[in-house]
Amino acid sequence: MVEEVKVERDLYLATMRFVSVSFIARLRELSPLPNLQAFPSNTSLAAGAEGGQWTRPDVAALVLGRGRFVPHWRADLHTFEVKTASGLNETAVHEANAHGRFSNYAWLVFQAVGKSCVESDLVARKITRLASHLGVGVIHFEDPESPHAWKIELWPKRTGTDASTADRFVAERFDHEMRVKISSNLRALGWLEE
Amino acid sequence: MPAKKLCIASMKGGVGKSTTAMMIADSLAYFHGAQVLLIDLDPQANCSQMLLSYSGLKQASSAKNTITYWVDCLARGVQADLFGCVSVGVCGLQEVRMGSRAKSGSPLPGQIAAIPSTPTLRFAEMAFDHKHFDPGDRARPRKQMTEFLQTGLRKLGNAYDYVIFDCPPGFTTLAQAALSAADGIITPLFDDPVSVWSLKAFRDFGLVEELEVWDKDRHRVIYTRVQEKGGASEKITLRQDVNLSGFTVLKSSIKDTVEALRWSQRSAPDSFKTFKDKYGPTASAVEQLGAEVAAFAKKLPEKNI
Repeated sequence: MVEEVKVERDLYLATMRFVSVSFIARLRELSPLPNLQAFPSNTSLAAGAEGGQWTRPDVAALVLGRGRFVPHWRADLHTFEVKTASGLNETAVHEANAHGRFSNYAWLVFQAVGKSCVESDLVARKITRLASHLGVGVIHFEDPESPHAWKIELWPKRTGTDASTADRFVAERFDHEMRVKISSNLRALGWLEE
Repeated sequence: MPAKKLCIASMKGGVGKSTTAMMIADSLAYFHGAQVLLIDLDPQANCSQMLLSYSGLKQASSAKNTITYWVDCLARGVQADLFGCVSVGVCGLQEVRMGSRAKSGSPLPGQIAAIPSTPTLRFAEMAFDHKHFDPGDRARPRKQMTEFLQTGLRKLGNAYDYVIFDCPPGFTTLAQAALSAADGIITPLFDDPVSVWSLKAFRDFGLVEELEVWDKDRHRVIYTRVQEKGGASEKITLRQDVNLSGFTVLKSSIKDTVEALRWSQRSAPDSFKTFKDKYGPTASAVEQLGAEVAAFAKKLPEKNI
């Protein structure tokens, strides 16, 4: 029996691990670029300069890749709103959706344990219906420690966020070391000058 | 369940550590549906190149998804998560995916992920050693590295069923840390006198005296590059010596065949060979090796890290 994680920030590391070891593999199945890489960062503490509500996704990940034969680039920013089982409600979907103004894909991530089956099923159905309507992706899990068992319930729709907004988000909210990694990878992909 | 951590290690170079590590990873993932993470600790980066190809390794290096980067961060006092250095979907299993016949009841097919190394790993390690050097405590860099490695492994959670360390020859700081953190050690052995002396020195001076981690039940030896012809009586004497010295030898062995050599030059990821095609006549030995290692790992008591 998996225990419910009570504190939301305790799930951020698990979400970053999921992105690094499992999410990227699933993205590659959809978009088989051999050089597709994910760069996750904890963005929960980095507030935007303009302030406002629902401006801090808990985790964000920049996914980069380049075509082999048909020249094209993939540079997608994903934002993840993380919720504990008891913190999950329909407002969380709206919050995740609001983060989509910074990113290309907005996700809601939550732990699906603790409540009775009937109750959690009802909540999950409501959440999924609303998320589907808004184009928000849904990921849920029981054990935060087992990233390969996390389930992608619903894939998000691409938002209309422009590249410069996403770029600014990475510049302002990602930690320094991750930005260095991103720059290094872009250089290898031929984007930045040596 | 936390991953079983296995070190493929030996004092001596050229005994087939990387080949053994790769074969075990392939077999565990393919036949047992296991999630396997292979961490290359050898600056020669042979294992990394076999798994990722040369261009793939360059790409991983640029994305700083390497053990070199992780050690470099430690040397600079910057926190970096080990899971952030993982390369997923490496060509180990993709190329044998067709015709896969994983036996386990695992809901997911086995996968191999890797944390590759680069030739600059040694320089990163030297920087780390320098940072943690203490004239009054020779073992301080190793103790520090062990602590960082254990924390990094803990943060992997239950993402992997097996973590396999491909160690470099000798005792680098990283190799010492891996040997200290590992649940089990597998030493490939070439049946010649020098290799057997090296095996004893590895255990007596390294594992027993310096690291104090040797435990007969946690250590296995495997004969590699076994040649069918020549020197049969000498080989029997040497093998008796190994047994009498208190080592437990796996029943599986890896023959010195053309197929084994050819296999190590892994084909393009899109060639889609079946496991049997890829390994040729070595396939059944590799399958048996995986089964033996899985049984060995199952019995290993978990280390408290």
